[in-house]
Amino acid sequence: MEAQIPLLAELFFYLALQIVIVYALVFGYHWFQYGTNKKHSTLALTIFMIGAGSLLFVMFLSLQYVN
Amino acid sequence: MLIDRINLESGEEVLAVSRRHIFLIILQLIGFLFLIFVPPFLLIFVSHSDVVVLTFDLAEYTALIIYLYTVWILSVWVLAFVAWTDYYLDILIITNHRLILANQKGFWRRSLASFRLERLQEINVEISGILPTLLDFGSLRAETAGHGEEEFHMDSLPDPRGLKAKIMKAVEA
Repeated sequence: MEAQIPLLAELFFYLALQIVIVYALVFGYHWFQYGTNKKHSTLALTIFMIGAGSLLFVMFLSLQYVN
Repeated sequence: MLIDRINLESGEEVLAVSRRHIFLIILQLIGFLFLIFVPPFLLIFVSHSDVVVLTFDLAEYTALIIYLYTVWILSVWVLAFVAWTDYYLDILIITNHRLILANQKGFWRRSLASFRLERLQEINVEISGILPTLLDFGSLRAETAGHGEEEFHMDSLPDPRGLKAKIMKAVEA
């Protein structure tokens, strides 16, 4: 089981990446279609992407040392 | 944007756009912020506790712990934006012809209700509790006359008395 941890972690990283992309698309669609201010929607999407991108980057870095 | 989808009638003007009070979303976001700190506290508790005895050295799994903690923060991050979406897309629009209530329920369910001002019978404001009184937010309830009586209701609106005054002014105009 312990030997499979790096593989599972790597698989989960790609799953998380896809989940984040899907959520970003869903958020973007809703905020731009049903929001009231384009600037607010753009700012919210930018903050979401920067935060999620940074976290995915940390996940990717820590993945290199998972053994 | 929402205003383009509403199809305003000729001569119809938007008088006010309102959402639930910002205090409520700030409170929710603070809750999510606290959630971020739950795993480190648990880890500190487990590593210093006599109740839980670990059969392995935590230091050997530092990278995995960081990885899992990042997954946790990412989940909280996404949930915080789900809460923001729910806040941002629940909107009350007051025009000189109608009250329009857009209500987002989850991602794929939303309702857009429209109430004509000439059919408005009664409008009530309720501010209940210490915080709503101090921060001036409450619910707005309006009844419209029709074939079946319809009711319009939205909670936690900032300055509900001001909104009521705007609606009454639009009705009288």
